[in-house]
Amino acid sequence: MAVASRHRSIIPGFGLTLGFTIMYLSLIVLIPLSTLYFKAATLSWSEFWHTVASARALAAYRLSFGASALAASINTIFGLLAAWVLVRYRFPGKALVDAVVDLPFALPTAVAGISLTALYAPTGLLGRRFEAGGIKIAYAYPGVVVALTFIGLPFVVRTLQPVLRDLNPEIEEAAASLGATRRQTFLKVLFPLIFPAALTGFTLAFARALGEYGSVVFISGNMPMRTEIVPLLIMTKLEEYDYAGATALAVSMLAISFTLLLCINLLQWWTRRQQHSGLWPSQ
Amino acid sequence: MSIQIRNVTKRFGNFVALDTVSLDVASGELVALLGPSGSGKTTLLRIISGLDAPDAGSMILHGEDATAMRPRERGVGFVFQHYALFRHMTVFQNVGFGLRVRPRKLRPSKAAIREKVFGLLRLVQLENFATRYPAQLSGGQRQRVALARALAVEPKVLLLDEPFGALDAKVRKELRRWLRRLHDEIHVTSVFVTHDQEEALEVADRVVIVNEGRIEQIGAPEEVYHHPANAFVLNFLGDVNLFHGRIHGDEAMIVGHAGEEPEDHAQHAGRSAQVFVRPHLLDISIDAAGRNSFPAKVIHINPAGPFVKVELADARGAPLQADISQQRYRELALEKNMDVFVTPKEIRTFATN
Repeated sequence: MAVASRHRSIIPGFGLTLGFTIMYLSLIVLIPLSTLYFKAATLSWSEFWHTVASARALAAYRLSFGASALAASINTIFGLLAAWVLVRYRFPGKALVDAVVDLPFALPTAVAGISLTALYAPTGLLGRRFEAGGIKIAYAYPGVVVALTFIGLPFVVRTLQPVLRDLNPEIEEAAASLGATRRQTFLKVLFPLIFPAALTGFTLAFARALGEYGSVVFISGNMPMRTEIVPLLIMTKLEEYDYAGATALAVSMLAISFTLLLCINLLQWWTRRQQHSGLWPSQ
Repeated sequence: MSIQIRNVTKRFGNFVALDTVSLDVASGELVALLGPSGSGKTTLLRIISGLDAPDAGSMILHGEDATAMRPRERGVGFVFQHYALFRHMTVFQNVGFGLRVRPRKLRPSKAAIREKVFGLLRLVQLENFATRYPAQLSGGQRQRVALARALAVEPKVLLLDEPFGALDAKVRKELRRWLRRLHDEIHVTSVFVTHDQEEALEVADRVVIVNEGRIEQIGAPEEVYHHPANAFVLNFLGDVNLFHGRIHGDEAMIVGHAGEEPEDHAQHAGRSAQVFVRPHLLDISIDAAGRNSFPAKVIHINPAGPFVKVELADARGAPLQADISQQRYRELALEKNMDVFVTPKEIRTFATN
């Protein structure tokens, strides 16, 4: 980086923009997060460990990360489908469908939680039918996944749309003329090209689901050990004035999230590298 | 494998891209579809490949009706103008793609695929590039990868859409000579689309000149160049000076000039005609050289190149172009604004209605 500035890059302002970026990130993200560590540091190691590794906390981690990953996976598959339909086909009401995709972005999550609960509760319009089939959605694990899927959908669709739009139709024609079936064309040609973007969409939906609180508290029933997510556990600690305990949970959550996101980013960097290996300058 | 196209029509909305076109390509031939952009030549190529379906008419590949066949059933290789390489695959994987996607029963073994791909890479002189990605290749190299990829499936017909269109002039010339040699080696029936008349005349066995969805003329390069069927073909195959004239008996008169041109077009007697003279067939002299000469004024001279390109204006101010040899240019000691005489050495007339 120092080399770039010394050699007078053609794009000016490297020092200024990088400095501003770091300052901004510090003010908005790093400094607030670092206070978490200072607060959590008031606990002794054994107290800290006791809080973050309690059976109730472990169950909450399992639920939060498990349900978030499941919801993000569902979103990746159906979000890809939705993005595909919106990019590839023309149909009446397309603009409307396109706008509906953004609703989970705009809706207060509590509203989403209440309406999903009303719908999936054992007495609700859909919940009644599932209940008859012996499936419990609201106040159970599936309810958490439903809420997290709802709020994550736009991330996948909006990430994939521009990538799908930019796919050159000649690529598919080339595959077809070489004898590939539709299935082979999708699996071997299109999917590898959209995979990095799908992974980005997955990451965003996953991260969003991890932090979600508002909609889940309504639909999950919040039963400790069973349907209690980490953000709710933190809220519970706060309500008990156990600030140090709450921050300890937050710090562990942060550490796990950061590690996971870093791993996904590394995977992404690796797949992109596969596609545009930069060992030789491309022309 | 031969191709027979019978009365093919293709419309896009109200636009007629192809209007009842018929064309025969013999087995092993290298044919150029030549025409301006929007003439329908690419549409015709895509219909042969099966990437587009005709609205009417039929397509016969080697005696078999292929109109309803899918692209992958036709045994055609298609090379796209912008290569359409798979950028997440190496050169090796790109070239081997058509073999790897074959149904299990027909799929060659890994070793056989490897051998085939390296054979093709040798053919296109890219053996040492097998592990590179398309982004690491130059335009000419990418085009050769696209060609090798199309040849890997052993197509019975090879179709190329403006194969050299996106390359710079020098690479383009090298690559088209190479394509001609390659065709002489492997003899696969080939059709390529181009808007570059020089390219078509240099590479193809036969040239098909397409305009506004119709075929204007089909013939060997020297045939279409020296015996153009109509004014469009003549105009399209190189620079030309246009005069309006009139045909009387076996003489053609250029309107507005004293000079008259004898021509054997007796059947069009007394009718108005377009008179064409190629720039290299228009001679310049200081004095009138016979009754076919007429006066003109030198406007601009460009001596860079094998010929000296002289721009002139005739008595009525209409622009003329004459290509004369460097030697003649020195003999005449031409200068800007000089008054000279021009004499057509050879003309071609087409009667107009």
